[in-house]
Order: sequence, then C-alpha cells, then structure tokens
Amino acid sequence: MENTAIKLKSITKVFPGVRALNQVSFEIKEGDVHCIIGENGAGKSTMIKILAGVQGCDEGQVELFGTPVHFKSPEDAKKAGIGVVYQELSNFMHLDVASNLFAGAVPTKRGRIDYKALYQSAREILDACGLDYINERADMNTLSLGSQQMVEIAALMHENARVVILDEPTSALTQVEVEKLFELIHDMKKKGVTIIYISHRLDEVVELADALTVLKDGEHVATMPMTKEITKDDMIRYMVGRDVAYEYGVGTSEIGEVLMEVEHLSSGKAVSDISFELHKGEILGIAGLEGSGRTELLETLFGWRETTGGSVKLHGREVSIRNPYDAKKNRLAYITKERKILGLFLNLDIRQNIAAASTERYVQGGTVRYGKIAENAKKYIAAMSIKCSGLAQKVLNLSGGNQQKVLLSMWLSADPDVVLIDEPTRGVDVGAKAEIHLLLRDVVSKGKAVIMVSSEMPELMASCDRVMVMYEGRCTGMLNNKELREERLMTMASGYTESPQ
Amino acid sequence: MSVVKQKTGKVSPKNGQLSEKIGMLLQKREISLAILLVLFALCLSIATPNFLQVANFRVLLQGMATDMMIAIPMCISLIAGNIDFSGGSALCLNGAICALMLNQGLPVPLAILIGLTSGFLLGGLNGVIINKLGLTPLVATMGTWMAYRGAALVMLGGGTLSSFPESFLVLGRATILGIPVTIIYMLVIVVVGILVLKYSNFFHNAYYIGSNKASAKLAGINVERFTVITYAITGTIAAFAGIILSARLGSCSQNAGESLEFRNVVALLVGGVSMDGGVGSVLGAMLGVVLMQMVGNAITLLYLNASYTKVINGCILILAVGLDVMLKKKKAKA
Repeated sequence: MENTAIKLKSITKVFPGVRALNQVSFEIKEGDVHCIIGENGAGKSTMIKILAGVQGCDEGQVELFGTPVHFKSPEDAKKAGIGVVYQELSNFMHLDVASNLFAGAVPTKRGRIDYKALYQSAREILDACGLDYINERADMNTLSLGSQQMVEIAALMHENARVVILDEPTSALTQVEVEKLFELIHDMKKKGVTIIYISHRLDEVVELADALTVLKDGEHVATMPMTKEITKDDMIRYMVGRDVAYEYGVGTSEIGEVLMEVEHLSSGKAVSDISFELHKGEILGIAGLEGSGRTELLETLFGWRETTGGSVKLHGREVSIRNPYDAKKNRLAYITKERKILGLFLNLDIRQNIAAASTERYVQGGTVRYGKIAENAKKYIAAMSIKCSGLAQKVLNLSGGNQQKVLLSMWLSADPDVVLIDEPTRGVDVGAKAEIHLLLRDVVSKGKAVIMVSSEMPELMASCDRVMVMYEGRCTGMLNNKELREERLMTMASGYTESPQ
Repeated sequence: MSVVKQKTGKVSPKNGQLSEKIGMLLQKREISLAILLVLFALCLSIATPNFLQVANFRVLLQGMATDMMIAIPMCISLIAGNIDFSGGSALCLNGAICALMLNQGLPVPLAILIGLTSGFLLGGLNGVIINKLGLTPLVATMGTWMAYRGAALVMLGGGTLSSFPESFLVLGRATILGIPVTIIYMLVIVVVGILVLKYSNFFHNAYYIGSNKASAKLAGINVERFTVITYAITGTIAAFAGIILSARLGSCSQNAGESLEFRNVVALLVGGVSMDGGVGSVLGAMLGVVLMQMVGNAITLLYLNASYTKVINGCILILAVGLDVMLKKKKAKA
C-alpha cells in the first residue's frame, strides 16, 4: 500500500499581517500514521482547517487519493472521507452516545425513526471499536473527556472516513485513556485508514509515527519516514531551529525558610490527609493520574473547594481560606489548567487581563489610573516577551503560550507569595514551554514558592525541586529532584507506596 | 437542561435502589411537573367546589387551547435553540388579515387560506432574518413581535372586526360528541407534536441543532432550512389559532394574543425546555402550559385580583428554573 492519500502542492494561506502557510508541499501515504509537529503558530491548525474544509487556501492545490479537491465547507471534506477530531470536542453533549454516533443519519423505518435499530447498531459500533465499557444510552455529558473522544472517533469509523485527523488528542486524557486511544489508532491503521496526528508530546510521536512532517513559521521544514535514528532532540531542533534546554534551572534558586505548612488537609473524598511543607525558593511538583486529586488539592488550597479537615499555615501563622477572596488576601495565586474557561478574559485586551487580579493597585486618589495599568502591562510584556501586536490586542487572538504568559503576568502583578499552577504548559509549544518554566524559576528565586501540577513526567523532573505523588486523594510519596525517575513516579501514581528505605 | 436522562439502571447499586429510582424519576421534569399539577388540582378541589365541575374544565381547556396550540411548535423551535417571541402578534395580525378578507366578502375557505398563508410567510420571515442577517433568534423575533402587533393595530384601526358569516363562526363553536372543537384542535396538535418530535427525522434534528449547531451542520443537517420551516410552522399555527379565536368569539380584537408569547416562553421553561436548546419535550411544554392556565383558573375561582396571575407565574418561573440549576450544581459537585 504505497498510494498517496493526501498530496499538498504549494499551499499558501495569508491572513492580514501573517503568512500562516507559505508554499507548503508534502505527501501523506495511505495507511500511515503521519505526525505533524511544530510550535504554536507554525501553521498546523491552519493546515488542518484547510484539509477539513473550514478554510480555503489562497494558493496551491490539495489532492486526495490522486484527485484534486476544493472543499467549500466542512461537509464537503466529510463527504470526501476526511474526518476530524478537534482538540475542543464538538459533539452533542446533551444527547446520548447512540444519537451522537448517528448524527444526521438516524436509522429510519417507513419514515419513522427506528430507535431499536439505533441503539442496537450503536452497541455494535462501540463493540467493534473495543469500547465495550461505554453505554450507548448514556448521555454524552456524563462521560469522561476521553470517552467522549473515543465516541467521536467511533463515529468517524462508522462513517467510513478514509483519513482521520486527530488534533492534540491526548492533551486531556488520562494514561489509561491514552493507551486506549493508541489501541484504537492501531485498529484504524489495520483497516487502512490514514491518520494525521498532531501533538506536542514527542514521546507519542516516537511511539506512533510512521512518518513525520515538521512545520515552522508557516514553512515546511521536513517530511521524513520515522526511523529509530530520529530522536526527540532532533525533532525539537527541527521545530525550534535551535537546541532547547531541557533543563529548567533546578537548584539555581536558594531554598529558604518554610513558607507554607499544610497539615492533614482534606476535602471530602477528593483530597484526604495531605501534609507537606513548602519553602521559599522552591518549586514543588505534584504528580499523579487524572482524577488523583491533584487539581482538587490546588482548589482546596485556594478556597475554591471546601476544606473538610486539616489546616494551612502561611509564614507560621494559621490561616482560614474559605474562598478565593481569602486566598488572594493571603497572597496566593491560582492559575488553572483551563485558562480559556477559568482564568483569562478572552474578549478583553492584554492590558485589562494583566490588571484583572490587581485592580486595587492602579487606584490613586479614588480614581483608576489607566496610565499605571498600561505601564504595568508593558513591563510584563517585555519581561515575559509576550508576542502581541500591542496592549489593545484581544487575548483571544494570542497563541496558547502567550495566553499562558498573560495569565502568569496577571497573577504576578498581584505579587503573590505562593503560586499554584495547574498544567502550566498544556497546549503550549516546546519553545514557549522552556520560557514558562524559566519564568517560574525566576519567580521562586525572588523568595516565593510555586506548587505545580503536571501530567508530564519529564516536565516535573526537569523543573521541580521536589515532587509529591498523589493517588486517589492521598499522598503516596515525596521525592527529591535527584531521586526522580519516570518509572518510580508511575509506580507511586498507581497507588504503591514505597517502603521508607 | 432539566431532563436528566439517567439510564444507568444496570450499574446502580442494589442498596437503596428504590429511593434512587424515585430520585431519578423526580429529576425528570415531566414527572415532577405532573405530580405538582395533581397536588395543585387536589388543593383547588378542596378549596372550592367550583373546580371539579365539567363546566370549569370546559372553560379551562378552551381557555388554554390558543396558548397550547402555539406552544407546541414553539417548543420544537426552542429545543433547536430558536426562541420565538412573535407568536402572539402573529396570531393577532393573521387573524386580522383573515377577518378583513371575510369582511370584503371573500368566500370563507379562501379567506382562511389567505390568513394561513400569510402566517406561514410571516413566520418563515423570522427564520430568513436569522439566516440571512445573522441576528440572534431573540432579537429577530422581538423585532417581528413588535412590528406584527403594530401592523395589526393599523389594520384594525383601533377597533374590532365582527359580523362574520355563520359558516365561519361554526369553525370555532361547533362541538363533536359534546366536546368543543377548539379542544379537539388542541389535542390533535399536541399529539402530532409529540409524534413528529420523536419519530420524524426532520423534527428530531431539533435536538442535534440545539445541542451543537456547528456540529449539526457538519453532520449534514440542513440547519437553515430547519430554522425557516419551524418558524413558518409556528406562524401558520399562530394564524390558525387567531382565525379560530375570531370564529369562537365572533370578533377580531387588536388585543388578541396579547402577552401570549411571554406566557408561553415561561410555560416552556417551566416545562423543562432549555433556553439554550438541546433539551426538552412536547409533553413537558404541554404540562407547562396547563400549569400557567391553572394558576389563572385558580385566581378566578378564588375571587382573587387577576393581577396576581403575573406575580405568581413569575415566581413559578424563578422557582422552577432556579431549582433546576441548584439540582444540577449539586449533581456536579457529587
């Protein structure tokens, strides 16, 4: 099977002020898992949109199985056999799984909807995809994100999609769900489906890819078959155009006195009996699987979730934090993993966003001084090298990495002592990732502390002074940076407490 | 938003299965609303002997017929996320058009046909405005709501039209097997509404469109056509209700259908249709309308000031939707 599934010929797409894709040409072989990597802004999303018929291209030609195609709408692309699972899932969340599988093509009998056939065939489709644990009658919004994604993929399989595009499919999945997804990808491959896989996680690329394409700043850098010789470092070099330090400065900041003491903290079943100390100048990582209580621990510390037991001391003094307002008064900052939903004000400009958590600072003589707001924003834009067109740019239009920097600026403007941060680099490209970690290190070197939750073990190992591992709301281990090994973290995250040795 | 389908019977634990099942049933808006209605009726029948009378039921049902007929297509439209505020005005305007035609001496079937056709077109216009100009359904139908009412006022010249031919009046006054014909129209529309929403692919698509418009388009559902047609159906049924109302009352007044749209939107929300679309049922909508009407009926029977009706309806809306939001929050936290 050496046919070409998709051939791109000098595709160019220009947006006002940006050349999103410039003369991009490459081929994707039928039945391959073809990974596309590149930093944010490299043109991956634009390329997906062109392939999916969401946008047209200004120049160039797409060929699908040897025939030139011009998609005017997503429907056209779908009819031609291209299916897309977007990062932000786009299913019918009020409806049940079966209805989602048969959207737009509900089985009918003599003009009436045949519910029996609907549920029966849905069951068969799910079983065929190995998704026996998903109930065809369950409402979509009662399923986990991973399961919802599987249902979307199953729907594409049912529609006989010949090319399936997966855009950052694993960014919100648990380890188990990722494995399930990979199984499904292998199944699809066996059926001859061509898969275009976009991911920031290079480990996944190494595991899955048959071929690899690298984009950078809208230009095509390379397309090559994936071989054992290609390492992660090589890929990063291709993407960034330079070597990126996978070393985020652990040990460069001075670990000082105890800043925060948490004793037997609990919140219902989600967080139970967590104790730790946090020192000035320290980044404490929290590892664990999705649902292990990592995020819930941060929420409890920040008063977003009710504390049902235990105590928190800051600077040696016991504090009672019952809501985010209390938390902010005690100089805590919380940067959630869902920066778009919970954190940023997407429709407001950069200046307003950066000022949002520290509005009282810009008041002088009872009136708001807009000059001070602008001044502060400029300071952070420069310090964090936020790429933007100016203070008045809407945050909505920034790339993921820059959005994260804006959010960080917002909270640092409030001058917190402890920064709680959840998945600091989710959806952020490799280059910006290093920058964000170095920024966090810079924050703690000024006598502050950071608690960082992350699903990515390499990230934790490269950036944290200590890592606490959680499982089902409990702490199953605390490791120093020198003791960190991926296998050890995984063992603890699966619930095995190491005997103190 | 409120119809929480819990179909996890297989996995539910054995202990406390019954109470859990009852809990699930109560979360279904149709069932909790039906229970509420029965309790309400019980209280009323104790409070006044006039409630449990055939005559009262006839008044109650006939009174709700107009609202109910329009509520059914409104419900289907709203499930798809398309709110329609123009129903009451469309009723008045198209009723007036038909009445004018009758007074011009046109034959009854032709006058009715003209009324229904204008209802179809003016209703469909809502959909066209939404599709072509990109207005939100709320803004578009607020506009036509006001414009249609104004047009009716112009046509009626501030007065009422009457002296219709007997062959027209009978359409609103006849009885079949002792049941007023308006009640029969209403029942037919309710039953048809329930059936098409469940079994007709075209109408069932309302759930897809309301749940996720973009994905529905992607799934090959013709969202624009659906929008125009459902608005046109609401317009047609509003015209029909207006014509029948003229026939029953023997006159066409400029106040016909006044604030019907608000009553119906409240009834739909109380009946469990979500303002954002994707959730709801005709049965729930029907029970919502019944509740609204029973409040009015109770106030008449108990000789209370009629102005309280609106206060009570407002409170019911806030309580019903508020309770819903609270239950959902509790569920999300659990």
